[in-house]
Amino acid sequence: MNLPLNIDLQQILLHALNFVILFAALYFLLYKPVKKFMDAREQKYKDMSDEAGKKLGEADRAVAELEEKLDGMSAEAEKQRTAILAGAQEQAAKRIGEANDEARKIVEQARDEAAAIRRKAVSDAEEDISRLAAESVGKAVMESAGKAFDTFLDAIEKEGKNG
Amino acid sequence: MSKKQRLVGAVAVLLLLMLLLVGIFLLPGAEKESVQTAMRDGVLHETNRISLFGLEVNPGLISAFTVTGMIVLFCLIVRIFVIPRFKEIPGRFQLLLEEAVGYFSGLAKTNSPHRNGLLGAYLFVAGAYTFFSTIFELLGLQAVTTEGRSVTLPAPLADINGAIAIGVTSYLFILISGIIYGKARGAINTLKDFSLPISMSFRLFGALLSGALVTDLVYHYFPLSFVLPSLVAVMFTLLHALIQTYVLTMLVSVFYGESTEPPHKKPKKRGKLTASAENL
Repeated sequence: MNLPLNIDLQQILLHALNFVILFAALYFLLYKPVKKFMDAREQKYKDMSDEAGKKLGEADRAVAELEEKLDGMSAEAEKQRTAILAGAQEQAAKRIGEANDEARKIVEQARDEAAAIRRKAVSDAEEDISRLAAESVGKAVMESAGKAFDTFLDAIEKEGKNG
Repeated sequence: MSKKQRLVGAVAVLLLLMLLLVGIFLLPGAEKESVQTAMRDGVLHETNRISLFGLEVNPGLISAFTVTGMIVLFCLIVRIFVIPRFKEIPGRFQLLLEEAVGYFSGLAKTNSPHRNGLLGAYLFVAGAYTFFSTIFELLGLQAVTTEGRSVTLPAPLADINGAIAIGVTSYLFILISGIIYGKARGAINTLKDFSLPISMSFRLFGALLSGALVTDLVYHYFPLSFVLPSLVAVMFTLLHALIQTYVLTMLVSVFYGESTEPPHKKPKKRGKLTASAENL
């Protein structure tokens, strides 16, 4: 069969065969090994990236956990602080109450003691006054009695002399 | 550079030019075929045929086998001596290989995101073959025809049989992949572009042949053919090697992507009653 432009089916097939041989050789000798190497390298870096991402995620999670713990601890510390403060305030109030009671007792006791001292002083004074009065009276009586007696005696003596 | 050195250089250049002019105009030229014969043979390869194990073939086929042999030898050397010594941080040559593989692999992924494993390899091979077979003509390797004449081996794709082989092989690759991955829809998608192998083949053939013909014309008519055209030819050959490689691989990847594209699932039509009920 005469085709125009010197087209020859046999030569077309030979060219195609040549191309197929070239395809096989280039694919197995060059394309596949180079692609394999490139893919392996890409996979390696992808794995490294994934690993780094994973570790980063873990680190983020750890940070989040720590922050959560820290928040929890802060809340706990706040709670404890509040409780301690409340306890301290209660304790202080109790002690203040006790101190007030003690003070009140002391004041009352002092007042009682003062009253007792006052009473005793008054009683002592009364006693002293009574004693002094009695002594004064006694003294006055004695003085007047002495004088009367002296006068009596003098009178007796006088009478004796006269007598 | 001293004055003396510049003077010596200028004298040497002048002497060379004089020798060239003497060679061009005074020496008798070899018997040349007419430009019509040269052009016709450049397109049709009817007269200058080469024997391949007793079979008379176009010089383009010999070029194709030579290019393949050279590429395979190069790959073998690279596979044995270079690839086992690949490093994670690539050197220049490793980078060049990785760039080439990565470029075609990326092109396949871009134009056919769903199926691209074999497409990347095909594009790599087709690209390498197109590029190296185009720049092969720069080597100017000679072969002896059945008539005992010496011919320069042309670019394999400047032979229409070579261009048709690549065009049809690419089309078959797309068609078979379409049937495998896209089933009947993929096959129909590929078959409806029945002009693809013809357009691919003749575009490749035309592009490469035009370059060869223009160069032949320049060589034929200009006496300084070994000075000016050689520079221009190198430049244009490299340029159109890159362009043809890009165009062929791009076309194959785009058509491959279309034929192997999975069908888009359309949302199921709901009954009118359901829709009305929902609207209520």
